[in-house]
Amino acid sequence: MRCIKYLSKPLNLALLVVAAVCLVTVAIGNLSAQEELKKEESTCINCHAELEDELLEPVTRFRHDIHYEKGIACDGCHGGDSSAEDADESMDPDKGFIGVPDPLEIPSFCGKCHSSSTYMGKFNPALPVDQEKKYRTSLHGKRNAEGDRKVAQCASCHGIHGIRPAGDPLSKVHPLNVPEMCATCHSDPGYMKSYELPTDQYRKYAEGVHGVALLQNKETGAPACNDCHGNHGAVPPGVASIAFVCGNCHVNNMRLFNESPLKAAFSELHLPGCETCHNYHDIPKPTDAVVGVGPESVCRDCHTETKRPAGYRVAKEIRKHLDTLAERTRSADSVVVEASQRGMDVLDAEYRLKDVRQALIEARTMVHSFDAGMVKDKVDAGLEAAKEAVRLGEKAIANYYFRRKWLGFSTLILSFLVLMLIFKIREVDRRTGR
Amino acid sequence: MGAINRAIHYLDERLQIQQLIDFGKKKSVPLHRETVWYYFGGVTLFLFIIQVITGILLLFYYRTGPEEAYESIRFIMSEVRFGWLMRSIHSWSANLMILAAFIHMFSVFFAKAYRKPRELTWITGMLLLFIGLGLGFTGYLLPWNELAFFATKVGTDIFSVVPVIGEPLLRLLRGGEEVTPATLSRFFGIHVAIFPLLFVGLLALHLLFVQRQGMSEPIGWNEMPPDKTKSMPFFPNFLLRDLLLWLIVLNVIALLAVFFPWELGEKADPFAPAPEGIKPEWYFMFMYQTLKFLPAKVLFISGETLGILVFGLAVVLWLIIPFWDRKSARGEKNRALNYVGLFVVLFIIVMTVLGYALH
Repeated sequence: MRCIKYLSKPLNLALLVVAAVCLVTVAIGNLSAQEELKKEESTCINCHAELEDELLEPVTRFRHDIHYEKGIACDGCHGGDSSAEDADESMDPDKGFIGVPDPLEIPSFCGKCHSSSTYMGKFNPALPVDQEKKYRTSLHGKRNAEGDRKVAQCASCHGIHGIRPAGDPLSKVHPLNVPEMCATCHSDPGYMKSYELPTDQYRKYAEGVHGVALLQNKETGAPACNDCHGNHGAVPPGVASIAFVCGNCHVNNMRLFNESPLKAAFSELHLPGCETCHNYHDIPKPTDAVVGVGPESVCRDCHTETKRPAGYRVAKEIRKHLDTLAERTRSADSVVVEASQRGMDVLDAEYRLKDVRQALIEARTMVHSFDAGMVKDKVDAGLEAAKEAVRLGEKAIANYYFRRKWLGFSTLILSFLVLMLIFKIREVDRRTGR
Repeated sequence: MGAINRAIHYLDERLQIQQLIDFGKKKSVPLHRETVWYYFGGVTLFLFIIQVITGILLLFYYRTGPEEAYESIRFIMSEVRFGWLMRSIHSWSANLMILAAFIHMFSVFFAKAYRKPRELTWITGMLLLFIGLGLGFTGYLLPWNELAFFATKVGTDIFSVVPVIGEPLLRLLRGGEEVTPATLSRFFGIHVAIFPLLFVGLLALHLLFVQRQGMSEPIGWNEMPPDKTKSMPFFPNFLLRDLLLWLIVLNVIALLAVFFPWELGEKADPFAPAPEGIKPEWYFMFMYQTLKFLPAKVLFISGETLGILVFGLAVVLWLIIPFWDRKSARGEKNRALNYVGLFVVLFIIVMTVLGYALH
C-alpha cells in the first residue's frame, strides 16, 4: 500500500521510470559489448592483428568479409581451434588445421560448405549449391583438376578474406566489376601466353555496345563476361550455340532469325548466327547503315548485284523502308516540337510519336526476318502513326495562330467599345454640366 | 414610350423600383485627387464576376480525384473548345483579383475610409480578402500538378506551427497527416462551394453597406466650403467610367491568357522528391520569405511559431483598425498610422521581391 502511495506522486513515478530506462540502457550496452567481444575473442585474429604485412592482411580484410559477418570464424575454413588461447594449439594439425590451401584444393575447400544445401540453408536457403559441380565442367575447372595452378579457381574471382556478396558494389564479382576482374588474367599477355589465347577481349568489349552500356553508363542490365560465358561453368560458346546466348536477351531477333531462310544458309556455310553481322566482344551499336547495300552495309559481305542478287535486292528494299520511316519520324518530331515550343498542349501528338518510334524499333527488329514484306508492314503502321502525329502537331500550330488572330479581332471590338464609351462619357458629362 | 420605359413601368407597378432609381440618381461620388482609387473596388467585383463565370464553365469538365483532376484539366486545355481560354482567364483573373483587392484595401486604409460609420464595411471587406486568398490557395491545388502539390504541402505545413490548434487544423485541412487525394477533395469542396457561398454572402453585405453609406469622403471634406467640394453622379457618369475600366481589364486578361497561357506542368507524384523552385503563390510570398529569414529559435520558441504569431497578431490588429484608430474616427489626420501603412506596403513589396530573387 505504501508503495502504491509512493508511486502515486508524479515526481516519484517519473524518477522510477528514469531509473528503469537507465538500467535497461546499460544492460543493452553491456550485451552488445559482450557480443563484440565474442567476435574479437578469436586467437587467430588477436595474434594476426599484431603481425605485419601479409600476415596482418587477412585480419584487415576479413572484417569486411561476408563469412565474418555471418559469424564464421577462421577455423570455419582453415580448421584448428580459433578459441584456443595458445597459438600452437589453435594451429594444431591434429585439430584439423590446414593453413593456406593449395590452389588445386580451393574448389573442394570452398565446396565443403558451399556444396552442402543443409549447411548453406542455415544462412540463405535461396543460395545455389552447385558452384563446385559446375566449376568442374568448366575449362577452368578441368585444367585445375589436371594440376594447373595458374587457372582461375574460387579465390581468383571472389577474392581472399575480403569476400563480399555479388550484389555488393565493392565485390569483385559485382556486375560492374566482372569485366575488369576477368581481364586481370585474360588481358595479361604474359599470363595467358601458355594458353595461346587472345588478350584483347576486354578492350574490344569495352568499346562495344554492351561494354559502353555497362562500364560507362553503369547499366547493370547490360551483359558482362559471365552473362554470355556462364559463371562457374564458364566455357566459350560454340558456333552453334552463339545465337542461343544472344537470344537470351534478344529473344525476338533470335526467333525471327531462326524462322528466316538465312538460318539454313548460315548453317550450311558454318557461319555463326549473330556474330557474322554483329561481331563478338566489340559489338558496334547497330545503325540502319549496317542494312542495305551502302558502304557500311554488312549484307554486301555476302550479297552483291551479281553474287546472290536476290539477297542484295531484299537488303536494298529493307533499307529503303527503314529510311522512309526514320525520315518521317524526324519530320513528325520537328512539327510536334515546334507546336510544343509555341506553348501548345501536344500530349496526344506525343503519344502518336511514341507509336512511331515503337514502330521504327519493331521494323528494325523485323530486319532479322530478312523479309522485306514483314519490315514494310511495321513501317506502314509507323507511317500511319507519323501522319496522325503531324496532323495533331499542325492542328496545334494552326490553333496557335487562330488564338492570336481572334485575340486581335476581340481587341478590335473591345477598343471600339472603349472608344464609344469615352464619347458617351464626354456626352454625359456635358449634359450633366460637368 | 419605348420598350425600356414600358418594362420599368411594369416593374414599378409591382415592385416600386422607381424608389431605387431615384436613389441611384441621387447617389454621387466625391471628386478629388484620390478619386481614382474608388475604381479598384469595382475592378475587384468585375474580376470576381469573371471568376464565377469561368469557374462554372470549368466545372462542366473538371473532375476531382488524383486519377482524373490533372487529366480533366489537360482535356479542358486541349480538347474543349475555348477550354484553354477559360482556364487561362480563370487563373489570370484570380491573381489580378487578389492584386486589385490588395490595392483597394490599401487605398481604403490610407484614405481612412474605414472610420465611423464604415467599420463594418471594412470588416466585411477584409473578410472578403481573406476568403479571396483562401480561394486562391485551394484553387491552386485543383489541377493536381507537381508544383501545386508540393506548394500545398509547404503551405499547409505552416499551419502546424500554430500553437495548440496547429496540428488539429492541419489534419482538418489535409484530411489526414499528409497532402493526399483526400486533401484534393476537401480543397475542391471548399473552393467551389463553401468559400463562394461565404464570399457571395459577404459581398452582398459589403455592397449593401457601400450603397447605404455612399462613397467615403476624404477627412476634412465636410469642413470645406461647398464651392470647393465637387462630386459626380454615380449614375451614369461614374458607372460608365467603371465600365470603361472593366473593358480595359477584360482586354488585358485576354492578352495575358493568349500570350502567357497558364501552364499545367507535370502531374503530381506524391512519391517523387520535391522538385526545385517550390514556392507559394506571389501573394503569400512575403510571409513565406519572412518565415525563412527568422532564426530557428528565438528565446524559448521556434522562429516559425513566433513569425506566425506575429503575423496573426498583425492581421487581427489590421482587421480591427476602425475600433482603435480613434484619431481618424474624430476626423483628425493620423500621420503615424500612415507611416505604419507605408512600412507594411514596403515590407510586403521587399519581401516578395526577395522571395523571388533568392529562389
